[in-house]
Amino acid sequence: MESKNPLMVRRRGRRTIPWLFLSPYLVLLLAFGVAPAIYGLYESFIVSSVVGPSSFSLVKNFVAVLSDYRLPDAAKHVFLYLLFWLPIMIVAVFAIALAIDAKRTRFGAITRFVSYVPGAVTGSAAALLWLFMFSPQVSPIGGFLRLFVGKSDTFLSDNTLPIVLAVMGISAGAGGWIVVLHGALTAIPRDIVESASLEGANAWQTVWHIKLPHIRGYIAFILIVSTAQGFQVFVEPTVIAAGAPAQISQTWSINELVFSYATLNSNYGRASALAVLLLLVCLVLAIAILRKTRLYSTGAEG
Amino acid sequence: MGAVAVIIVVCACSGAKKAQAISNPNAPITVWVDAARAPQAQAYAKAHPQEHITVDIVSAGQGANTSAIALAEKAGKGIPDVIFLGSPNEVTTLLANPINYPLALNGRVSKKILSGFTSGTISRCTFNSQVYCLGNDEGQTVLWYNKVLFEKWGYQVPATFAQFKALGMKLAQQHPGYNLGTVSGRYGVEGWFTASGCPMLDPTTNTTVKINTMSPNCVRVGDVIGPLMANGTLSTLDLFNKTYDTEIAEGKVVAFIGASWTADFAFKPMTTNSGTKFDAAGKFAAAPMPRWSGEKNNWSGEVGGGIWIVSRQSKNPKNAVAFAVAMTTSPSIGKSQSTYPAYGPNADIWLKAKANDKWYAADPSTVLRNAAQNVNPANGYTRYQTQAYDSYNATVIKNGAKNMSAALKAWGTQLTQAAESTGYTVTH
Amino acid sequence: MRIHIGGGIGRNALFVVTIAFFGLPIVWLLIAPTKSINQLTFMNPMAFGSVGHIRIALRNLLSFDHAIFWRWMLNSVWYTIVTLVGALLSSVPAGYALAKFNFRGRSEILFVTLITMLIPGAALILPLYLEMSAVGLTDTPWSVILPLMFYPFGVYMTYLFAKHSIPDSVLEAGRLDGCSEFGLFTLIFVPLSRPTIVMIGFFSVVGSWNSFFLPYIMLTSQHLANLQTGLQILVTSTGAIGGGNLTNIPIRAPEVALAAIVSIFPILLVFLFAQRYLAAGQAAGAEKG
Repeated sequence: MESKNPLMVRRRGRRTIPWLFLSPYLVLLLAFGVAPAIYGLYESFIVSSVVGPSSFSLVKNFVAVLSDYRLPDAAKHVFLYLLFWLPIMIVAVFAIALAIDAKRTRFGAITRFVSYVPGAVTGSAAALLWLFMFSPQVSPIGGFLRLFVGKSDTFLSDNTLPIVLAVMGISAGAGGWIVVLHGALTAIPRDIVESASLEGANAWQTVWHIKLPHIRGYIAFILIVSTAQGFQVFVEPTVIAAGAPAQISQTWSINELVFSYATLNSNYGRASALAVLLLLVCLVLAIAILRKTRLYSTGAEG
Repeated sequence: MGAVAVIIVVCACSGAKKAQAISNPNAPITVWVDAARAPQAQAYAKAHPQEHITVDIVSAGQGANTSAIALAEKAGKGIPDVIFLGSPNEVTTLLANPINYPLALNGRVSKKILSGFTSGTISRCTFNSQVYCLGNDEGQTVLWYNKVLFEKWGYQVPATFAQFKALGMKLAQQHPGYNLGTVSGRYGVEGWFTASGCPMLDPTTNTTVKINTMSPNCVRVGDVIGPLMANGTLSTLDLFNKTYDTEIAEGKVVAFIGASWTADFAFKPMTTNSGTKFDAAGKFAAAPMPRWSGEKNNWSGEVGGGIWIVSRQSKNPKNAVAFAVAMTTSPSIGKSQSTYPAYGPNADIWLKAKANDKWYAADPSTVLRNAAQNVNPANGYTRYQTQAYDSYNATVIKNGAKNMSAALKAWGTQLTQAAESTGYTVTH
Repeated sequence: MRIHIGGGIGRNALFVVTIAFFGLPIVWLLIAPTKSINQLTFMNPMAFGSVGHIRIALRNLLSFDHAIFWRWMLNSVWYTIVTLVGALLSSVPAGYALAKFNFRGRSEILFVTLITMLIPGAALILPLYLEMSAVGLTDTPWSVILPLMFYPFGVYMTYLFAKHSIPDSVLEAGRLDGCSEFGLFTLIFVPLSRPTIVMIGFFSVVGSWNSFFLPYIMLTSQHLANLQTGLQILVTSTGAIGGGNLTNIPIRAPEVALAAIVSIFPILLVFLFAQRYLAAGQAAGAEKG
């Protein structure tokens, strides 16, 4: 509980101490967060040309990026991906973490462990794993997949890709958030939870009125970061493209388009411009979520 | 006139940029190779210790080398003297501003050596009459066919595309489930469309290109592959897709317009020892590409093939060029190459081994050699090649069986947009 | 009285479904190196091959460039450890300060921290590279280690924990006892926040271990590559996945699967070790002392 002793308030407001605690991080933040971001923003105004020198323009890169014929499809794909991936993963993460927290058993600990493992498989290993998982001929769930496609067809098509990628995204992302959420839940003081049950609250009421509000900050953080991750989905479509190159476009998602500008075309101006636009979308959502959960007050809800 | 102006502008700009690094015959060089080229590069470095060659093994993914070099150029250091490029079309990005990486090789590699390369590999590397890369290997396309099945079913090897189309119709009726290859992605674009001379990936300069997917050379391809995709005798799957792999393993592939490496790497692994029912040994032979009516040549396409590039800013261009030349022309390397060498004399060595390879139903060396010399010049390097394959899959492959004309038109539109967004002026 | 979610049966059913969903791909992965590439394609997916194939796959992996595979692993280990130290030393005090002190610029720093976590990485390629190149660190391990020490996620997790679970009164009590701010942090906060520190330490380890993008742009010498980047070199050079291996290098699906298992094994060991510390609950008792 916050003390209202004026002496305490003055002492707590001491100027230099917090900055001492912050300084190593601030150096890193400036060097690897802020400076590159500002440079990236600056770069979005530099228009490169295949003949002749680069030039400065406030809008040319943005116009070029927004009129790229691949962008509407990429945006549609990302929207579909988010639609499938985000709600299912969030619900799954919360359900599993709450279930593990409700009664601390070995079974729960095993579940938390197993749910984490697929997320640890990255890069070409993931490309291999998911290529095999989603090719009906060779997959352990091949029989199930073949219910949906003919014998000489591939399972990956425009219609199935958002779902396939969402499954991959859940598989890779859920485990980490379960660990985070479970950590947050176990940090809730036991006496608060127990007093609620003593007062007659059932399990659901305890969750909804006691546990979740108590970890409101974590929930906001998970929502913000996951939504941004969803908008910026890159790994899953790249992994599928590595394993099944003709079944998915190399620029299926918006972030893949950013990456393609930067690497294949060496056009950092357009890469930065599209990244700025992506970031703006994520920022707007982040601010909205923050407002809803009042994340920043060091108030008494702690 | 316009072309001349463009050439002058390009030359002037290249000249106005950083001046040629002063060459120092004792300077060490750094080379970037992929894992497959590493042993030969390391062997050369070991055999030439006085040259102090550092061999870096780098990722060979699309755009990997290009972006690494772009970064190095921007920072002004860490630029490698020689690189191997597994996605050769990226030389066009390296050549353009702001990277401007490759060294022109015309004065530095003897005419004799240059003329020893299959002409297609040199012409693809030539911009503004300057040669900027040396070919490592080739993927010239031929018509592979299952000789045993053909004889068993009484089929003639198609010599023209009209016969190929008729064969596809017959196959669908008589032996459904069997196919004549795949036209997916690069196999279709390079093996069929550019082989036919369809104008879409053939730049006139590094900034101008002609694209017209409705021209006769493109439409005629559509007229063959459309119906055959519809009746299933041409697959729309990638060659290494697991589903298609299974079809190969079951012996369902009767013929295949594919690269010189297709037989070795797509069919050879199918042996009963390794667990497939179908054993490919002794079954496959090579035939020349079918001919389009009105053409004299059996034009072939080009699927794959790597190149070597030397840096304009190399402090020791003499050693750098010598390294690149050795990597492409040295006979010991030619002998151990897994795919068809781009350098003629090495190709002869490679073909001799193939001629004695009893896995083939018949000696493929003559067909392969002729195909290498008949790669359609419509096949060139562009900055939008990946986009070309993606848009092809999204239009022709997706909808070509239903409405080829609309698909070709849509593909042409996307190709034009892709070309313009990567800095080309498009003519039709 | 025990608190259940939907009853024990519902909870256990959820666990079973979860384990099946996440575990099935892993079981496949574990079995994969026991088969040859053709067996992987044509045998039953869950059938066991032979132990001999594992040995072959391992030999193939190590045949490349004089077993540089182990070098890559070693690089991964020490990059990860050094990064971990820097990441924890910088992010834990920062998160603590942001939660427990009121000062100008506090919410701005929090906000900027959050934003940096939302920036698409591809846009940062060029500036990060130029920065490292300017100080001459490209193609050295520091070009990978230093940026990875920047750990906004750790700051945020520490901030949330300190805000949600460490009452100000606990620290007040310490101050009244005459404890210095530094002492408060090390003697009171750190022990109480051990579960969170272990958790963010774990995620830092995973982030460094799996980091591929940063080494890919910063390093050209394969001797400096970490495991992920090294594997990427091998796989892209051979086209082992998706491209059909057109080279003489014997890297195919079974070898990649074996490399994957070797690669995730240390992470899982660290997880099992960290699991002991991940459950908290100490904060509840702190105030009553």
